[in-house]
Amino acid sequence: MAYGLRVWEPNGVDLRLDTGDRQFRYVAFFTGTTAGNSTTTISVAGMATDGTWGLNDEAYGNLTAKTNIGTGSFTHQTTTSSSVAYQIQVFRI
Amino acid sequence: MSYGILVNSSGGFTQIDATYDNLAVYASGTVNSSYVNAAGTGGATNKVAFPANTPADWCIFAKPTTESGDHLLTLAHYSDGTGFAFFNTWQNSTVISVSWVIAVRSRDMPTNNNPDFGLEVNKSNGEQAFSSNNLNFRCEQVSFDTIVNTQTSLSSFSVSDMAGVYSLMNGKTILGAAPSGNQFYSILYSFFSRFEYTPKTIRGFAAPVALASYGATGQFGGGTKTNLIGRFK
Repeated sequence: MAYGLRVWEPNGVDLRLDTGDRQFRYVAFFTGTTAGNSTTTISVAGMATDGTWGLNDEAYGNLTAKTNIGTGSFTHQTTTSSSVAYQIQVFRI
Repeated sequence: MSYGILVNSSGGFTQIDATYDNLAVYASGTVNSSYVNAAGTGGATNKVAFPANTPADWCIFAKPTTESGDHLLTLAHYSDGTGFAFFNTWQNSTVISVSWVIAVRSRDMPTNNNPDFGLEVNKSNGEQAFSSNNLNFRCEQVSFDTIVNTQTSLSSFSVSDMAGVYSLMNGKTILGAAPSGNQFYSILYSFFSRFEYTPKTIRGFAAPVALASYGATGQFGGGTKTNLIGRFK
């Protein structure tokens, strides 16, 4: 093995982690509310549109809001005059 | 890096570091799927209660328990925080068993020192980032959808072996509402994970999930959705 890490299960046969695995890593969890027809910008150190960062909004009723990944930050934008709560998970994969 | 560990995969992606938390299984089980009937007034609701002390920043993964056929599932979690359910598309009364996993950050996992060997990584603040004693999520494929409307082309994963493969269900679930022809109700659209065991694909699918009293005007949020499939080991 030229790189990476393998971790075996106690049986010594099955792998818990292999060199080719991509791991889901949790960066942060943000909660708050965005006013109607507005945008909230949230800073996240190192965030980039490089295909390794992900967002998921858990808030109930998020059908009138959307998220977008940027550089060093992401946005939560409401699309109607109603305010919308957000519960946003940020990951790296 | 002045402390900790940094492990990169053969593809150049970081697997473990001492900065972010890896994800592990907090609870798992099976539940029957739910559905809403044509009138939007009934159907079946089979709810899973969150286990005690479940952190608020959970992730929920799921798959059909019987790994055959073609099934669409979407996650609904209740605004009072008491639980969640998996819904079929609107009016689909064929209830199936769904295997689910609640995954949380490694730092929020109960202490597990058995066995006393393997790998444990802590962050600089002393919180656990990874432990090989946990059932960790091994991500096999990932994609990111930017959803604009119900016609947006969504990601599709081709899977060589579907056995034991889960899909991340949370994130963008309810996508928007479309006029139903009734002035008081809209057709609610949701993001479904579609498990197709014969062509061996798992893909996103926007479809109606319920009739809801959002009025007759269509509205749509859209935005970013992270799609992950993989196994827990």
